[in-house]
Amino acid sequence: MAISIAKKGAASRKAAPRSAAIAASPATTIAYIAPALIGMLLFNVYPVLYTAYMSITDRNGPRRFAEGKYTVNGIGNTNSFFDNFIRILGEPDFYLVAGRTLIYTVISVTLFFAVGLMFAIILNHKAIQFKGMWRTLMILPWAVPTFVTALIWKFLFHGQFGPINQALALIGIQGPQWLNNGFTAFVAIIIVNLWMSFPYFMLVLLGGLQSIPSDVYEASSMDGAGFWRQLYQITLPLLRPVAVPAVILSAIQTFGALHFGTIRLLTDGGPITRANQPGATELLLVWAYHQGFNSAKLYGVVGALAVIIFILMLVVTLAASRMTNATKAAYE
Amino acid sequence: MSEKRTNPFTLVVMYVILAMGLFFAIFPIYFIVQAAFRSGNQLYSTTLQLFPTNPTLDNFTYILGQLPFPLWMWNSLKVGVLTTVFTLLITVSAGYAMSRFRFVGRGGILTSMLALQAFPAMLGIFAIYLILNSLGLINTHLGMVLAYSIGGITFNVWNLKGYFDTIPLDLEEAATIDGCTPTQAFFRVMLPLARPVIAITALFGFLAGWSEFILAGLVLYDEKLYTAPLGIIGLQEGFRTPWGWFAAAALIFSIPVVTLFLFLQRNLVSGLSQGAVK
Repeated sequence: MAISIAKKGAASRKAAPRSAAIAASPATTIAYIAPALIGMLLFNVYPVLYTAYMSITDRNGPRRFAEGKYTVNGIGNTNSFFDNFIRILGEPDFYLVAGRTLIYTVISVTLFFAVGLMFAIILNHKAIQFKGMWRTLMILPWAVPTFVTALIWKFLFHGQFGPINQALALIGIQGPQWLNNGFTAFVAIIIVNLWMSFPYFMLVLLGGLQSIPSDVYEASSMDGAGFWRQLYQITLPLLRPVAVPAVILSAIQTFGALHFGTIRLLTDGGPITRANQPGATELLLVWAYHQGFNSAKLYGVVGALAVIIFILMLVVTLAASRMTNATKAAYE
Repeated sequence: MSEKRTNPFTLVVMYVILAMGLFFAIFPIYFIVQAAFRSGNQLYSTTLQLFPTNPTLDNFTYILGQLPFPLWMWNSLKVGVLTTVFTLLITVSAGYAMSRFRFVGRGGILTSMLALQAFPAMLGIFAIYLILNSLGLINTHLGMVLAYSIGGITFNVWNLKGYFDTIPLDLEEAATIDGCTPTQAFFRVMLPLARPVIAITALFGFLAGWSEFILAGLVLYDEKLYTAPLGIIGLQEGFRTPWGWFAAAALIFSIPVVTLFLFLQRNLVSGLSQGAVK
């Protein structure tokens, strides 16, 4: 019974207002979209094309290859056309870094979701007092600018002066040098990422929970369902429309972009635990960035990396949007 | 369940979890607030100290008087406000057009906007640098404003379109029957209704300009033009400079952002039509 009610609830949530067209003259249409399109060509499309162009050139060196002094692989030189791609795909570090980034993403997003859901369920409970106050205080981390977040936590994790280890010392534990040890540095960046990201999940899931009619729960209680059964049979299925897009978007962003700023400031990819290997927190974008903007200036290689990441993310994004139908609905 | 009283044990467990969550969320913020009121050497104690023993305003007077911090804040404000204005000018009308008008290439533009979001922007930063360079906009605030407001187009247009899609068409139809042109309907009917999404677009535009630090670090080299994040990150480099300066500066810098955020918190979920993470 609980399930049938749950399904009915889900169906009623999906009823979105229809959208249709308005007759506008071509001149009006152009006036509305031209600024965005011109900007997009300049700062979105051109960088993509330029980076893709770099990926097929031999621009891999600090000085000799200034603007204009490099050639296209296979045309201006004797390299294979896909030289940069072959270099990356034959590079064990690439797989190490990509694998670590994937692990980081899976752990992070699972935690965001679990922690966000836990607080959302509690804050949605009728017996909890001062809901607005709790919610407001708990979304504060989201409001703190990223660089401030990174630098606060850098201090909190400091081996000697940081309050985390000082608190551990009070109960007789000698804390690690968090950011100087491969494993703990990895744990540390996940904690920081959790800190700044769980409020978003909490808010989104809380919004979803509030739209579940309470009689659904009452009916299942009468059936004798306990907390966990209600969670699996009602809450999670009914949260799907809100939760799935949030999880997918967050996963894509965590894998492909979000780790960059925090890691740059917290560890800059370090610590290096083995010589000639990427550092323990040198996740995909940080690693890619280092290839190009550290001393080596491998612009060709960075271009190829950007293209590879782009294709990867594109496939995931398109597959995900197929899956959730989120974009399909938006096209109607 | 609603008829029954909540089991006291459940209630206690819930409050304990909430309290732990609150501690996790608030402690780092509390720590930087109290650090701002400590004198420099007090911060580097090796035992746990959670309250400043002799609270002082030294850090504030130093950063406001001895450092170009007020100037950096002004720069951030300028870049943030201009980015907001540019973002709104460029994206709101486009998002509306994508939702309401039908024209050749609409589907193609929407798909490419979605696809472009998958590009790792950090790795295209060199190309952006080159464009700004050829436009003569390196080391200028205008260059950053352009890069930020345009960099957000693809996301914002999709988000705005998604929101406009949820507003029923009847209202504009009624307005058109009353003799409004599509543009009058847009300004008089739709903009007021789209307030939540416009507020969010503005907030994120402002935040980009106010607190971005990677492109800013690449483009700005004149210390007088630094936005606050660049200046503040510089203060923190190494553990030699008093961390209290950083704490005081970060505190002053964060207050307007946090205030705006809390002020707009009700729009945070409703204004993000397809969801976005900071």
